[in-house]
Amino acid sequence: MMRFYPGCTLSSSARPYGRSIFWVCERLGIEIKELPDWTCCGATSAHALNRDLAYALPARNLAIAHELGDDLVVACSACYSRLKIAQRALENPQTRERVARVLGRPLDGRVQINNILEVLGAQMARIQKEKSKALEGLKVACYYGCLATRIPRIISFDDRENPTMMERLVSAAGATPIEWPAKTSCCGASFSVIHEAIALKMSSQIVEMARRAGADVLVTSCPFCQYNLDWAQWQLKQSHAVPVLFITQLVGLALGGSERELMLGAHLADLDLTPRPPSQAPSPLCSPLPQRGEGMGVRVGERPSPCRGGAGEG
Amino acid sequence: MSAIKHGSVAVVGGGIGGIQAALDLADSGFYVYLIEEGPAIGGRMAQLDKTFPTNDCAMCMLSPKLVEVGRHPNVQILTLASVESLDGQPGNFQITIRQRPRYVDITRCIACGRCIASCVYQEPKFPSEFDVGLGKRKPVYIPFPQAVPLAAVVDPQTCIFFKSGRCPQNCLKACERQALDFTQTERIFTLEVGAVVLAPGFDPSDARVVGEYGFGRYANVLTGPQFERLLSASGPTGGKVVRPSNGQAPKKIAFIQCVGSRDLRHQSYCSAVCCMYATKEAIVAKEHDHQIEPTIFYIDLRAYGKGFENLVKRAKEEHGVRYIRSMVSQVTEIPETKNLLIRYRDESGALREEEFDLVVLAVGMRPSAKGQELARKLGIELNEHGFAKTSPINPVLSTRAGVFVTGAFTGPKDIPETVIQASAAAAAVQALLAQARGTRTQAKHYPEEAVPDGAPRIGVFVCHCGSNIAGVVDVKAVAEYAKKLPGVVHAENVLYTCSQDNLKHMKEVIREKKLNRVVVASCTPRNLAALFQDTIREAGLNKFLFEMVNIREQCSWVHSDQPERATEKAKDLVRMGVAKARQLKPLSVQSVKIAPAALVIGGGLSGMVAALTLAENGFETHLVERRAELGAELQGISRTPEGEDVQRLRTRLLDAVHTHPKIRVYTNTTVREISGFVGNFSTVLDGPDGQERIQHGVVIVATEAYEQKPSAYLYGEDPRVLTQRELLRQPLAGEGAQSRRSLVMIQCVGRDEKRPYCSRICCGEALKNALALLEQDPSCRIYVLYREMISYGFLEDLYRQARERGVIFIRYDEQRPPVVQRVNDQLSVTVRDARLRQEVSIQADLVVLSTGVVPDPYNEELSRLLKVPLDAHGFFVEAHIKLRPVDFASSGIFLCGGSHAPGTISELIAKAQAAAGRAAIVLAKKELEAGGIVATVDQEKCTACLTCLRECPFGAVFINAHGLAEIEAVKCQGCGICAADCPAKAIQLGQFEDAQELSMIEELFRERVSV
Repeated sequence: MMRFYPGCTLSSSARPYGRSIFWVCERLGIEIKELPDWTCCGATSAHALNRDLAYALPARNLAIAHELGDDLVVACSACYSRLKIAQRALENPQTRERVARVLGRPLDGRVQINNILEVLGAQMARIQKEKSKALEGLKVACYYGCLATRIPRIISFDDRENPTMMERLVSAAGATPIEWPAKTSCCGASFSVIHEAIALKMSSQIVEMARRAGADVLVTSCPFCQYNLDWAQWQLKQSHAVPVLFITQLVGLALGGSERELMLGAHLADLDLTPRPPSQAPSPLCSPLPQRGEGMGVRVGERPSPCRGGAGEG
Repeated sequence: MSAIKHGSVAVVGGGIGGIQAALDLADSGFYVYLIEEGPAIGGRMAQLDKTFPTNDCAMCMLSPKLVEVGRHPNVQILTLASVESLDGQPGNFQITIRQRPRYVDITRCIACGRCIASCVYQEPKFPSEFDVGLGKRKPVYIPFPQAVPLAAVVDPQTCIFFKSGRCPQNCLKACERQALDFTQTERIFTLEVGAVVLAPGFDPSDARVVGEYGFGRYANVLTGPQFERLLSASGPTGGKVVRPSNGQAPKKIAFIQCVGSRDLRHQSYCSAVCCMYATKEAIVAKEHDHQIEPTIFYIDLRAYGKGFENLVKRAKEEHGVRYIRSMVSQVTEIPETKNLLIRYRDESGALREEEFDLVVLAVGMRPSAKGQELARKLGIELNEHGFAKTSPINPVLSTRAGVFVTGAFTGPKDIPETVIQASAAAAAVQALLAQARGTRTQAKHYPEEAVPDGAPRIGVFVCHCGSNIAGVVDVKAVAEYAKKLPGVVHAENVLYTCSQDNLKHMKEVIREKKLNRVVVASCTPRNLAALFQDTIREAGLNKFLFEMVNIREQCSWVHSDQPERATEKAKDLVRMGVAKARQLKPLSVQSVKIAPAALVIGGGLSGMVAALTLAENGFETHLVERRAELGAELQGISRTPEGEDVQRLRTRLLDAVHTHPKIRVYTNTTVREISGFVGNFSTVLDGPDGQERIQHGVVIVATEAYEQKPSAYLYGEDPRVLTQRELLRQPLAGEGAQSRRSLVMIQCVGRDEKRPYCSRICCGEALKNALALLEQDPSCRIYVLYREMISYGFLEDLYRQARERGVIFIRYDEQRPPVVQRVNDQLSVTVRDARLRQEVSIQADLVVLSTGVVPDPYNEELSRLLKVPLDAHGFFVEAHIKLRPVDFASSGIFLCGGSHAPGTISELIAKAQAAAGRAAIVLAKKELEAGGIVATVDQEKCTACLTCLRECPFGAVFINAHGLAEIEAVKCQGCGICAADCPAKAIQLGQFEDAQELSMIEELFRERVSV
């Protein structure tokens, strides 16, 4: 059993994410319960103002989890990164002592912090086996955002510059992940609140790149990213929007979840999940996905053609 | 140290470093086991298209060395071999080798390629290691066309027979030599050697770890080594530069420098060669396709070596290569076109985005993984970067006695530095095993040479080469044709002329039919001419009575689609060969005794090191210095950039040199005249006690380069403006000490059109001094004003440390140098910061100038005395900038020190050891061969016009007592320039005389004699 840390958005503006996470976990037999008495991780606000505050806020949640003796699973990229950074900081005894005093409780950061993608990734075989044909032919651009795999000085759960966890999940779910260059570009994050023009430009560029690469739908694991990409299209009133789903919504669809159960009606931009005809030049990844150690270029995983056997050249 | 000294050496690594060390050792009387991991020697240099700074063809330079190693009687090449363990002590080691099976018998394989053609894989399928994954190969393959040994190899990882046990094995059936042998197994054996030289090379940095550039994801992003393969005529596209995504020619190519280097996430050091190799690749790409527009994105442009600056200038001015000083943070692929988008800042600071068709990542050098494994097995320590740990004052000695390390294994470096270190290692081995010289090598004994008399009696052997030649050319018809040619008394077909049984047969035929000329029509003389010459010599014939006709590479292989015409051509070629054979004369080779002593001119660091190395090898050395004392230029330097105590080194060297019984030191002495030739020089020295004549076999020029005294920035007008060397001599505190609260260092002082070259050592010196000053007084503020920060290799660490300790680095443009003024007795330095694009004014207590080095003015005199060339800047010109950096073109004369080029103390030590080692090879021979293919002047025809004397690159021509030109056979290299240019046709080159060459041409145009 794992403790789920939702963070502020997953119960509010990103409730579809929270809902679909619970649905998929139940469906796959992953037991998760919400972390009791959880509080805000501090996100960007705390670390912009005061370092100890930025440690203390996530540390409190780590303490709760540690006292319960449970592992954590986190979905929001910001929450995930703040918890990881706090955990690293708490390895230093002076920092740990100082922050413990601030919180007024003993601190131990030794908790396993899992990203939702890792948890789903462990269920790849089961998803593969139990998926329906719901997503067949759908071309999916997987968007990680800037933070999930690139937390400074923290070992990433996937390749920093070219993560492929979501692509593999999408593949297992029966859809077709596509290769595209903006998968770890920044969406603008909180600038969509404080300086819209910037976030609009950054997010719309990402959506445009996905569209040009031939995506039918964008999928992401971070609530802010989902909001920004969704909002940008809605603001710009783009026709033929590229729907932006949460990874658990997509996987949920493949596993038989209904639109209502997965809260697919709560998106800003129009949601049309029918695969578009291949008029643009998409570049679907061959399966298996590129591995390190193989030749060059995108087309990897070529198998040698069967040998001729029998009468060879004499 | 063992009392037993084996006269054999194990050299591990078959790249240019291992090859050079092997040749040096084999030539000086040691038996060498050259142990190579892969199926052929050649290493990374074989994969290059061209080399900087001359843009010479890499294979053209390397291939002769490969051939030389391949047929050297004192070298045994062991391929597919690796070292398991090393036991014993210096002089008496037991080295255990594991040799993987090739599954091909290299004594039988003739590299005809039939096994490859008949392989069950119709098309090559597996990434080719040689083509860095760009090209493909089959499980059975020949590593590259010029490979030595030239033989096929089977890769058990990809061969169907090994993977599944079920394969029709067409290769076995196709081979006409029964050379394939799938029953071969791994061998483990132990060799006795006296010393070990490790030259395992480097691995290119893995571009995949710098994921933001998209290597491995984006089709049109390549690494430098891959691009090199695209440029190579022997590469996967035959030298056409194309985009991998669609095979079209790219127009705009971007090079991104420092990929994996100068990067705390990967390698913190600078890989030392990438700025230059990118420049080279950009120029060569443009030469292949004029449409190409290369752009190089860089941080600092490190063009610090001899000739580097020049190449960059040509790249900018003649070839239009664009250099943009902006590091690229990300490469984005455009989905529709697969072009790449790069964002950068231009000189004005504006952010720009540009689209490119192809991106080349200039990846750096990592320590060789196999090399590190080797180090672990042999108990060799590695440094913090994972390269072999060496001492800066003993750059080729590993941490284990008797085991030497060279080349890129000790740190990133280019080919000349590698060759220098290889020769230095060989010199050290020679010294270690001096008494065992010649004990493991074999001299061959031949029967007495018969003097040919009467008319030519020519034997012609026409080779089938299996079906390589016979499959296209009608060899029987060619042999029949040859029988009818004038002078031919014997002509036959042979299945394989190079086989042992045929060689035996040839000797019998020579004796029976009393042949006095032999013509073999088969493959390239590159391969086997020496073998055949040796064979006929064994039969008592002078080895120059031999002519080889190439009807394979130059006939059957290139005209395989026109067999009739190929046969006619083969007949023509044989007719020409026979015509020349009729004119061949025996050439004699004499032995000339050598004077086993050396003259070292210049008693600085390099001269002392060279003299000691020679003395340790057991040779008398005369060390001549025109100043009053040795090592004068080392005075005042406290530490090397790596932290070694220079004064302690100087003292040790002085002691050693003055007390060594084999070294005679002459101070206050100059060279008055030098005459003679390699092995027999005669020199008059002019000293305080009068003149003295000495005899010696070799000369080493070891003059140094000196800090130039500047004439700018108030130097000489204000005592607070110093050079870097003067700074070191200043007292730090107390009387005479100056305040150094605020210190401004100015780099590149005095560089202008007249002296444009980079002096290589100044940035390292400045960094070292800055850090030393901060050690003493952490509160002092240091500013370094520079153009490019030349902290190559491990010096990069010093640069980073300096920045971390608060040294402020301000880059200025060449066109807008700093200005030093005195205002109210306060020194003030004003400079335009090129990055901020603003003027900055600094109040300075001290201004320290890095003025660069200039060669010793005495070089002019030496150049005249020795008849060796100087370049435009006063440095000596070596025989070849890449592969013979410490040799002069004239035999027997070597160079080192700052007279060759500027270098750090560590680099100069290696160079001096290398020059001494190369000189020792000559002295070790006791006798030199003179004659053979040399030119001679007909004294009747010579008019002493001096053309040949001026043209000879080797200084082999002199004017004799009769006032006519004469050629010193020992110095002559047989190049033929004099013979070609003599206006009176007074010079003939042996084996290529006018009559011989003309006879071939006449035969070609005569009517054919039809069969």
